Amino acid sequence: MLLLTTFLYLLVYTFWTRAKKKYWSRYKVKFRAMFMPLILDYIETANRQSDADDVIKKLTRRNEDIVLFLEILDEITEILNGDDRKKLNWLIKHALFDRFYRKKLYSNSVNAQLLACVYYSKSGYLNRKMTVRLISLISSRNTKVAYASAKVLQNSTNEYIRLNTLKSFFKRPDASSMMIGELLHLFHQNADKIYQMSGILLKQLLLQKDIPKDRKQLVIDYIAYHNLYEYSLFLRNYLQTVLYRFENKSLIVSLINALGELRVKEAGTLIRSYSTIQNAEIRICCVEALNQLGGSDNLSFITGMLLDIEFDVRKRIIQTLVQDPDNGHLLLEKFMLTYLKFVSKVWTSELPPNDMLVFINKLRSITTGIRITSANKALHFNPVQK
Amino acid sequence: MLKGNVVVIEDDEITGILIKRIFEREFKFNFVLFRNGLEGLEYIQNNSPSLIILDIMLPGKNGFEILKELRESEAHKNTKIILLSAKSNSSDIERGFDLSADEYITKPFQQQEFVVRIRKLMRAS
Repeated sequence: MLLLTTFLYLLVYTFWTRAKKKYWSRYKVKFRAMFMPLILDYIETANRQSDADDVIKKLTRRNEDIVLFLEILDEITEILNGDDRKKLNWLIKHALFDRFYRKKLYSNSVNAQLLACVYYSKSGYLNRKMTVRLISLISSRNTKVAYASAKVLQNSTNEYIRLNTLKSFFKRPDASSMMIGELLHLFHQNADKIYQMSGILLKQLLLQKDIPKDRKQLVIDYIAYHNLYEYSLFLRNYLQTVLYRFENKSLIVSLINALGELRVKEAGTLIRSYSTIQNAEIRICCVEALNQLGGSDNLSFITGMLLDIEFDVRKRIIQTLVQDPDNGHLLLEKFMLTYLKFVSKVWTSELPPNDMLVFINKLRSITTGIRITSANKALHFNPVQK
Repeated sequence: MLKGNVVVIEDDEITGILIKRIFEREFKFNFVLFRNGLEGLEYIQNNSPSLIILDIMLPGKNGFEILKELRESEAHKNTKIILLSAKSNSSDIERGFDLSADEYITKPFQQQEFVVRIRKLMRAS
């Protein structure tokens, strides 16, 4: 009997949820068909903010309708900008939506808080009372709520609030690198031009002792990716302060990569000093960075590293030199001629010592590397041989 | 008012509706919209539109592939083709012009600017 009741309950429940889903998807289609032309007409004809009231009047106060309406606005915002976007913002910032989402922001439901944060990060509206509420949400146990509230707070005109929001969020162990990347971008993008130009914004994050190293790495990667040249010399000086320890390896790699990508010529000597560190990953990124800095000194230095103990380092140097359009091949030739003289010394020696055999093996590996990369280059430039 | 046939291949519903409204309002073009790259390409090969507007990320065949195929065919070598995409990287724009697109419009755009660019392009032809 119990089994039959359970079965019937599940059957009814399945049909009920299916019917409900079908109803809402049909409703959504109808709703879009009705409001899409209305919104597009409004964009074409609106002249002042109060014109938005005519569209809003046609909207019921049902939660579902408000969410669906904002969904459409959100989609159109992705397509239109300029004056059209300005008119869309009149709709988005309408008092009806503000009242609706303000209640949600103060509710205890995680979903309601999330919806409110999403709305306010788009509308950009933020007052003092809301700021206090959002700051409290950054320490929410729910990562998404904390992230969404941090995102809204990046709309604040107060630099201190924006920076401290970021610092608090960075310390959360559950924050993903994507979340941090986006917040960093908003933090930098929304800052006053004067702060951006002076290059002090992101320094404050790198100099904080209590921010985890992996977060600092993301800040450095962000600087390099966006070519923020104003941080060039700061990054060089910062690298000088980071001692080589295993736990600092990734941070050092990020810094050297960034210095290379930003073409910080002044960092050449410092990067060369890192190329002797007993870690192949660091030496490889030194090769890449020195190559990006360019100049005959750096290329000659890289050539001198060709006898490196690690195969991957040697491989990267050969690739770099073969791909160099100017004098990479000359440096390789010079290197080979210098060490070919060594062959006669090995030949005349009665019993070569072990380190000599290691040296010969390295030479063999280097010549193989040169042969393979040169052949690739030749094939690339001469399709007939393919 | 400019006249002709325009084929738009765009999988995004709102962008399609928006472009259709712009053409109805500003030009006397016969408007045909496709959501799928392959279907759109097949239609273009059997007809001779005066203007083609292509999205880049499309189901079936992407905008770059369609553009390349059209430019390789004798019939559509000189047809006006506009790429319309949210992809705003310089490498994508460069690729579009390398494949001989006549215009590259990035989303989001302003309707008025869109109209002006189309008008200028069609007048040049």
